[in-house]
Amino acid sequence: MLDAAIRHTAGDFALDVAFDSPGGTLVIIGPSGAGKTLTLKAIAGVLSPGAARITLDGRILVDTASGVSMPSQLRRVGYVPQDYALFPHMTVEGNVGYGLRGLSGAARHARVDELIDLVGLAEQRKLRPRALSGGQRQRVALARALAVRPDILLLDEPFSAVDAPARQSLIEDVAGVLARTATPTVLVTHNRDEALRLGDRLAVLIAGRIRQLGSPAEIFSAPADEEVAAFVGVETIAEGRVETIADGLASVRVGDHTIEAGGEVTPGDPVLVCLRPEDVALGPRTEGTATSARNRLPATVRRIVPSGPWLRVEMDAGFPLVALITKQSLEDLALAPGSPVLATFKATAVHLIRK
Amino acid sequence: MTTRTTAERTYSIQRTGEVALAAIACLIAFVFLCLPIVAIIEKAVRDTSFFDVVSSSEVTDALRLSLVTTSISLVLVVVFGTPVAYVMARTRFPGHALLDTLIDLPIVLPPAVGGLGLLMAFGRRGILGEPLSDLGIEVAFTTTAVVMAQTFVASPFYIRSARAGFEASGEELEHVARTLGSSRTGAFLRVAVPVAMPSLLAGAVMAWARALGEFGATIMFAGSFAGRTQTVPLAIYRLLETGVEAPLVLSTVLIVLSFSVLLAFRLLLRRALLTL
Repeated sequence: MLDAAIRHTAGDFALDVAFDSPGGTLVIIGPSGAGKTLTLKAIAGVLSPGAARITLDGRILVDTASGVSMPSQLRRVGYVPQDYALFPHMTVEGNVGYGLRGLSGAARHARVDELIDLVGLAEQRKLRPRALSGGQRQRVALARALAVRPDILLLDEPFSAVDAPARQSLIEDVAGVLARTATPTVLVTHNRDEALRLGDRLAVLIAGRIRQLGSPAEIFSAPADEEVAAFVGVETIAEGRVETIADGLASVRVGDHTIEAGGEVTPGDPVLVCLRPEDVALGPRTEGTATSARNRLPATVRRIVPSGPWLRVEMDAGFPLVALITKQSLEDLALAPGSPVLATFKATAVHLIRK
Repeated sequence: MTTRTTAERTYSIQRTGEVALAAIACLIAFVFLCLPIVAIIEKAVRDTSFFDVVSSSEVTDALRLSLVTTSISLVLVVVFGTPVAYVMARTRFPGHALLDTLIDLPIVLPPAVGGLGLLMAFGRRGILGEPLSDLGIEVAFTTTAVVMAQTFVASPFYIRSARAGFEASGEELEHVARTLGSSRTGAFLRVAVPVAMPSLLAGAVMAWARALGEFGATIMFAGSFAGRTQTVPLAIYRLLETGVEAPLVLSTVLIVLSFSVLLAFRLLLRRALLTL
C-alpha cells in the first residue's frame, strides 16, 4: 500500500499531488511536463520534495512535517528511470547483481540467474549495455530493479526509448513479468495504450495536479473534466445545454442539433458532450436506414486523415465531429472532403461532463 | 575518348589549389612543432656522451627529484581534486561560477604569479607561513615547496577533466545505485568513479605533464637547490650556464618520457572506451 502526498515547486512549476495505490499497477498518465517524473523521484528518494508525506506498507518514507526522510537505499523501491540508466561499465550480470551485494556468492548467482531467466536475457548475460538493443536494455533495468525484491517498482516511461515495432511485444513482456512477480508498481506514461494495458488503476496528472483517479474504464468512459477528456482520447468535445430529461435520457442542445445522452444532469445545465471517434458510425444521407442509434446527425466531411489501420474522418456537424472508419467503409461510402454524410451514434456512447 | 570541359578543368584546378594550400599549412605547422624536438635529440645523440652525462649526479638528482615530486603532486591532485570535481559537477550553489573560475585561474595565470602567491601565503613572512615558522616549520625553499608549486599549477587540469567526466555520466546512474542499496559514497565509488574513469585518467595525465614541466612557480617559491628543489626544468636552465651538454641530455630524457606516457595513455584510453 503506497500512500503519497507530495508538494514541490521547481521554478514556476508546482506539483501538488495526493494518491494511494492499494497494490497492483497504478499508472500515472499525463502529458510531458505534468510532473510525472518528479513524483516518481520523490517516492524513490532521489529528490527531496518541498513538502510531502509518503508511506509504503506503513513505513514512513518521507514526512517533511516531522523532518523524516528515509535514505534511498533503505526504502526498498525499485527505480527504473526513463533512459534505464544501466551501469555502462558492468555486464548484464553485473547490472542485475548490483543490489545483491549483501548476499553470499552462491545466493547472489542464483538470484541473478533467476532474474536473467525471467526477462529472457540468458544469451546476453556477458554483454555490456552498449551492445544491447533498447528493448533488451529495458529488460535489464527491470531485472536489476526486481532483483532486490522491492516493495514497490517505479517505472518511468518504460517504453519511450523503444522503437515502435518492438513496443507492443515489450508491453506484453512487462505485463507478464509484473503479473508473475506480483510486485506493486507505479508506472508513469503519456501513452493511452500502455495505460489501458498495464494499469489496474489510473491517475491522470495534468499540470502538476491529479485530475482523476480511478479504474481505466471509469476514466476513459467518464473523464472528470475537459482536459482529462482531451487527454484520454475523447475526440469530439462540444459545448451544449441540457434541455429536457425523459426516462433518464437527456436531450442536449448542441448548435442546431439535439443529442440524446445518458448522464446525471438536470435541465438547464451547461455540459460538454464527449464522443469517442470509434463510437461514431457513418452512412449515406438517405432516410429510413434502420438503426438503433438515437443520434443521427447530418454532417459534411472536412478532412480525411490516415491513422494506423483506420481513417480519421473529420466532419462539420455544426460543431467538429470525428469518426474512425475502415478503408473499406471509405470506399463503400465514396467519401471525400465536401461529401455529405449521416453520422450516427448511440446515446450510451455519449459522455456528458457538467461544466 | 572523352574530352574534359572547361568547367571540369576549372573545378580540377580549384581542387588542386585547395589541397596544395592545406598541405603547405600542415607542412609548416609540422616542421615548426617537430624541428625543436628533432634538433634536441639530434644534438644530444651527436654532440654529447649521452650515457656519461645521464649518469652524472646532477642529472640523476634532477631526474629523481622530478619523479618523486611529480608523483606526490599527482597523488595530492587526485585525492583532493576528485571530490572537488564531483561536488562542482553535481551541485549548484551561490558562488558556484565564482569558485569554478577560481579553480581554473592557475591555468591562465603566469606561473611566476602563482609562485609569488605561494610565497606570500606560505613564505617565512606569509599569512600562514609566519605562524608555521614560529612553530619551527619552514615550507618555502624546500622539497615540500616544490610539491606545493606543482600541485598549485597542475590541479585545474585534473579538476576540469574530472568534472566534465562526472557531468557527462549524469546523476541518474547514482540515483539508481542508491535505490539498489548503495550509500552516496558507495554510489560514488562503485558507479560515478568507474564510469568517469577515462576522464579522470586523461585529467591525471595532463596534470602530471603540467607538474613535470613546472618552472616558474617552483623557482619563485622553492628556489633552485640541487638535489632538494632543482627539478629537471630548473636543472636544464641552471646547467646551461656550464654548457649545453647536460641540458640536452635532460631534455632528451624528458621528451622520451613525456612522449611515451602520452602515447601509452592514448592507446589505453582507446581500449577503455571500447570496452565501456
